[in-house]
Amino acid sequence: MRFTLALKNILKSKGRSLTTLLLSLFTTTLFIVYVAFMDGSHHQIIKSSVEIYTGYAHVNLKGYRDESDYGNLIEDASSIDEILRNDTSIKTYAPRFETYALLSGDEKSVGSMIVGIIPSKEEKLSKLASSLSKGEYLNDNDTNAIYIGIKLAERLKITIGSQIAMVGSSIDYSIAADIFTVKGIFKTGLFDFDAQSAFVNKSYLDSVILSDNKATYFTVDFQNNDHINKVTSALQAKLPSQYEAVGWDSLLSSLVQAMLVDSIFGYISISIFFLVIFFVVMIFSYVNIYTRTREIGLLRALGLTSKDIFIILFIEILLLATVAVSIGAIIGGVIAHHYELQPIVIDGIAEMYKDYGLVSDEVPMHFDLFTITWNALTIFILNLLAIVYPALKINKLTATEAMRYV
Amino acid sequence: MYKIAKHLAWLSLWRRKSRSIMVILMIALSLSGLLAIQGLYDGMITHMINTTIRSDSGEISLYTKEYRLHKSLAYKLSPVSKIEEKLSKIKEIISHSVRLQQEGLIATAHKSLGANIKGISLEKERDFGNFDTFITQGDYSFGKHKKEALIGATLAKKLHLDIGSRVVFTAQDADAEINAISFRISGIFKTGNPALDEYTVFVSMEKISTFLNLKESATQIALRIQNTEQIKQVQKKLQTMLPELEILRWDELYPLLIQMQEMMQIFNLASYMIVFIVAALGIFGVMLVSVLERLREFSIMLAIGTPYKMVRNQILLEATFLGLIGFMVGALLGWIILLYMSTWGVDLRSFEAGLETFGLNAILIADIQYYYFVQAFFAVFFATLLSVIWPLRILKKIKAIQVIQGKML
Repeated sequence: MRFTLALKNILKSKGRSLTTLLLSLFTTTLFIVYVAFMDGSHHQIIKSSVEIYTGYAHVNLKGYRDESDYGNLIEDASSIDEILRNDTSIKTYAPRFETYALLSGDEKSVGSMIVGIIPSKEEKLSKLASSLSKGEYLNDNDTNAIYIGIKLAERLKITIGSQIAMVGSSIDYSIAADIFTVKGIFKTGLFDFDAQSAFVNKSYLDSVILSDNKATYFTVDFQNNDHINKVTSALQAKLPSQYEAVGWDSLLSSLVQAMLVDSIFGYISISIFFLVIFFVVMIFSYVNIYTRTREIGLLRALGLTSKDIFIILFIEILLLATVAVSIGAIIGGVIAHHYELQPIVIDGIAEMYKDYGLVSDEVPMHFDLFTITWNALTIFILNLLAIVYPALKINKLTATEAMRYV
Repeated sequence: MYKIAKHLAWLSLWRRKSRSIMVILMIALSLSGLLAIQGLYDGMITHMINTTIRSDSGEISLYTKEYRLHKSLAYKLSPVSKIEEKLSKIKEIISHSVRLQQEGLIATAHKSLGANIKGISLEKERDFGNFDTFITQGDYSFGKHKKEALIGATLAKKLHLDIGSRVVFTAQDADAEINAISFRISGIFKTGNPALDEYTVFVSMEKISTFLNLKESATQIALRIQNTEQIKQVQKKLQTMLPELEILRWDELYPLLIQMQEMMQIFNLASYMIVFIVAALGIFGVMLVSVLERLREFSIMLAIGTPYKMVRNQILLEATFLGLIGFMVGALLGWIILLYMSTWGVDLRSFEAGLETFGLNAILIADIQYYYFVQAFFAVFFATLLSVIWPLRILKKIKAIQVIQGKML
């Protein structure tokens, strides 16, 4: 009977029911799309940073993250190589040797990051090879060939075939110097990375800076990178105690935190909208209930308890919210899914936000069922909360007071 | 007659206290939230603009036409004294800073990083943008013999440098020879400008001139202008006076900042629009019911000769009172929040690393502008007007006698 009464009430006040329904539907859709857009841009920024160069996890000497200098090198890279080779959870891995040196063209010198890589392995691990813009990518037999970022090449005023001098420091802190020939120029879109990085074949760099069988870290790509903390913990257990396996969320902690801050501001902004929606739904419920005060008084006089009245009102909002939130979630989900597959293109946004790691004008949404569910549930709960005050208020009236209410 | 309408509107408003309070609360809370967000976001952008102007660009910067593209000493400003002489003739310029910069490699005994070395005059930088207030550790000094340096906080952190640490900077001089210079760190600064905090070390102008084998030269001359309104006018004057140079305003040098500011304005406007369209719906709900439940009362008023205008005014005033009280409460609440946030700031030190990525301080200071409240007033005013259109249409269409007879309810 309570359900029938609630349903009848909804149908009787069509205008108000429809307004509440449409408001909740619109809010649910907006919230889901807003969060999907926000998460999408954040995921893209982080994914670019992870996949272009950093990698999903690193293995390094404990202390290297705090002091990334020659005092914290992996001294026996082959032993780590063996452990990683025998770990079936790892898809691919490679050692890197990162150092900084002064690169000089004919006219200009720039302090840059020089990285020794194994070109064939790196091809599977990062997007260095696929980011080739001019010339050729490195191969495992290259000697003094250098693969350089496009912005760095511009800063040094060099092109393919140009020679550049490197002056840096060997691992015994003696001066290391050599001449390299530019073999290839890459463009990843990561502004700082393209402006400061150059790569050479590790075996050759080892001979220049005396780093044979040494590495600053190993970069690792797991078979499944979804649960990075779990897989890095498993790997950690296999490593000697002086080494650590670090996941991408720790490697890019500043960036992850920046995205978190951006999300917090995003949620604060949209919360004002929720606040208004909450009040509007509450006002409509209140008005709706109070126009039925006499009717409610009559029901009370006929023997319905205040609990029954509360349940009837609750069922009304429950039905409306369920329909509105379900439809809103479906619409929002479909939009998020569509724009995840076919990202929105905002011309010039990558150039504008290049300093923040945006590499493409395409901004995909992020479709995630869990996020959509909690977004929808938030609106659903807001709707239910909006009925509490009006329902409690009407129940304060006695049956006689309610029937006399004008 | 207007007085009666006003009196009736006021009484009607409080006849249904709960729902009037609900509407007032809705307007007040959403308004104060919007004001707080607007002030906080504006404060963030203003802070970024201010620190950029104070620490680097000034309101206007002078470069040679090729310098910004090539960043090479071949495109230096020289002789500086002649340019300074011309600048002294423009009274709107209140201070200027001469800087000489070169890219290179900074190294400690254990680590090297790419960085910029910048020659400055500490006194001039203090006058220019109170640079001494950016010092977080050590002194604002190059030491007794001007042999020490100031370094950006992020760069110092990456190199594990403290006050007194020794570093070596290697770079190409004006004759394309590789030179190295050694100095101790006397101070660490944090400006919030990532280009300075992450990559820059400041030394005295005398020291860098010797190191780079250059005299009377600079790569940038930054200017502070008395009033914001004079910036474009001074820029034009300088363009005529020094046609061989590139004269750029701060917003031309850092277009991202101005784009962010514009985007924030659009965002604020859109937020106000969306929130108050929905709020109008809430006020509409209350006004509609308020009119519908008093149709009989209004019909009697109309039947005994009360002009429609007076009844309309009563409804309009009722909605206006709701809006106005909501606005006053919301503006007061918003102002208190903004006052707190602009005085004490919002402490987000636990997200410091993330905020630094955006060039923001860990303590965010909000802005308070007079126009926020004007903008908010109009938003509430339009929402209120919008909400009574439909109820008034209903009232206009009623046939008073039929309503009184109960035939049209």
